Amino acid sequence: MTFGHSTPLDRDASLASMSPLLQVDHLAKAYGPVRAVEDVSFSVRPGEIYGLLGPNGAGKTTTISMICGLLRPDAGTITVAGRPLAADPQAAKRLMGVVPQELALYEELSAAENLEFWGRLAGLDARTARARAGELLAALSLADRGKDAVKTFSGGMKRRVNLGCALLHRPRLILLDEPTVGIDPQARLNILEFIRGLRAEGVGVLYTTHYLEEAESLCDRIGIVDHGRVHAEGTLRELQDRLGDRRLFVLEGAWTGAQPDTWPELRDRYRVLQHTDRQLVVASLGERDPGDCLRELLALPVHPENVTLKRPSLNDVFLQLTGRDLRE
Amino acid sequence: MLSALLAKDFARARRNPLPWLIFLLAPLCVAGLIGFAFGGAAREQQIGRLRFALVDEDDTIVSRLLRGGVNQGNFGGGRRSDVPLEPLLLERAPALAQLNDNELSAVIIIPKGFSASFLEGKKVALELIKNPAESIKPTIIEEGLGILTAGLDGIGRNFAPELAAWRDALQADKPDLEQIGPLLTESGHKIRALETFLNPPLVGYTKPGAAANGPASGDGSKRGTGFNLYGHLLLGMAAMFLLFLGSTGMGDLHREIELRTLARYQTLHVSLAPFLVAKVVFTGLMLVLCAAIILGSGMAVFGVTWHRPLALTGLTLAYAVFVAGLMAVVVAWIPDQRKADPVRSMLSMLLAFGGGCAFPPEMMPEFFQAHVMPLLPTQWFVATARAVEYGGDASWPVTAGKLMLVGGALLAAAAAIFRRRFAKGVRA
Repeated sequence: MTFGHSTPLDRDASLASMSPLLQVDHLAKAYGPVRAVEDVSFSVRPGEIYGLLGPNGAGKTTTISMICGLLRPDAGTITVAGRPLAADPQAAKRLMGVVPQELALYEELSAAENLEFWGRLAGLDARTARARAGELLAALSLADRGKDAVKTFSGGMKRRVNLGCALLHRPRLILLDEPTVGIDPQARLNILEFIRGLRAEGVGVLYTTHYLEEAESLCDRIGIVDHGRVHAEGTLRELQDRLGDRRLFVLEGAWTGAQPDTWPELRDRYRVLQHTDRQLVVASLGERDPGDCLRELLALPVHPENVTLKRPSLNDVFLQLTGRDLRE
Repeated sequence: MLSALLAKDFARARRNPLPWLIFLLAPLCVAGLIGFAFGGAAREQQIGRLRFALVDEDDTIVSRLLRGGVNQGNFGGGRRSDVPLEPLLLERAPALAQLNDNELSAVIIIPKGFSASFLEGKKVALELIKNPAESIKPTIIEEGLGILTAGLDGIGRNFAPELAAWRDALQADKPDLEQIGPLLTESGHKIRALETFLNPPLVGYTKPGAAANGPASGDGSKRGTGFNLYGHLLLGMAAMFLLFLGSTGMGDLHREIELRTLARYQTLHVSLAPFLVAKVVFTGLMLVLCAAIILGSGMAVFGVTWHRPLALTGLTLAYAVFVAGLMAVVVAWIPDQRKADPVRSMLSMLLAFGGGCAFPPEMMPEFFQAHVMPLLPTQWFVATARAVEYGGDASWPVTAGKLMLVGGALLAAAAAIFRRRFAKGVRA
């Protein structure tokens, strides 16, 4: 399956027609009194990168841990390739490759040895594991360092080996738990490009991240998760469309003590997304002329010192959904 | 898969051998230091020659008999003993001078009038002057002198009438052979009557450590030969440090948890059992290898000879199973490495010290010796290994069987704890 020459819209239509590789319904998990995951539902189709976007502690890792069988859910169902995970977890795990958030490597061993080892455990014979390790090292731009101990690698190189260890058995579904945390931009770009290559081969990818830019640039569909719930889901455009005509006004000024909700001229025509001491972010309701909006906003009881017009980002969507900034 | 897991563990141990080397070198160093402190450069069957002087100030026929016995080699090389003696017949002054020069371990003086008093049935005393610069050798001479005086005392008590007659016969300028002949016959008859009491003796003793292992049975009852201080110490040290080495081996499971590799393993389609089995096999093999290095180094460095290598190998294999099982239970029970490390260390120390690996078992309180030590597998191993090598009543196949049984039970318990934890969905 190749998506190389299709447009994003074509691909969306094509994906929508496929049966999901992974289906998660109303998943829940609590650690004592802490409800880490309350109600999470989404699906991942073949050849699709589904992003779970949320801040630290939102429940992303717990969700992935339940999908890959490390944790047992308190409620909800997980279906892999049409079969419930609980019915035959081993068969489901054969289809999966899991890349944990923390590096899970033997630092004394070389990159090639790590890859071969995990390949052997995934069921490959020694010769196949060695051959695929060589291919993966080349694909991950590590061929010249394959025989070096992992402990001598940079963070970005370790991340690439960590990713490769999950791919030896060529899984159809890959679970990536924040695979680019703590690495430099160049290494991050390498990994993201590699993941796009996996998508092109028809692999379904579940990708958790708290980086907005990654979700925006990489994922076909995004689920915004916070406090253990998926608050919204869709393509980037669908999520942006939740904010009306996709125009936001950022008003900088002295907003301390102001009560914008009590101003009729603002309340009736705009939705307040964020209100801090120095900043007020609003979205216009319905199709409006930006010039008209600007005039109205400059006439507010508290006069803004600076007004910026911008397209809504995922952070703005997150802001609208959760009332807080993803970057906080 | 097992081979891949084992290859991985051995490769990691080879690349990072320091934790293993520390516990490998430690028993050799400790045994060397203790052995050096107590025996210097002693080697197999050699605790050095016991050089002492005999000063005969009595100079009578009895003392001359004693001197003659010493001089004719009864105390020397022809004697059946593990301790080579080197007696010198000297006057008091040169004897004391040599003692002061640290050339003698002790001086034994037969005082003037000794023979007369002895033959009259009076209390007599030999004089012993020990070299204060030495500890073990003078003590051995003192013990020997104790046996001699006990013998003389026995003769004095049982042959009192004959001794008076002997005195009369020997007091003349020339011994009266007409008197001595019947005396010899009479004394001979009396000694023959005592034969059943003397050979074999009716009362004996066994070493407490060996007795703790029960009655002799099988080929384990055969006595080892040639006590060697280093070998004796090294067996205890090996038992103790094999516990620490086992802790390093099975403790690697903690490292796997910390590295998240165990969690990654759990995401695969395979069961947890091969992973745990591989770790146990790896630890067992490493323990056997380390035991071979420790005991082999003992041969190379200290000149120890292991008289029964097959028995020692069997015991060590069984002990390795026990250690692996014990440490597996600790890891399964306490998954947090920071909490488990002190527990493992404390447990190893308690078992080692309590089992007589570091201290002689006789130094332990009586209650402990009687009721606690017999329950400790470390004590089973050490006591049996020492008995096998240096004499004592112990059956190594029985001990090996007990160790294997306990080790197997511990491994089963560890597997059950692991299974229960992971079945609950607890992350590694």
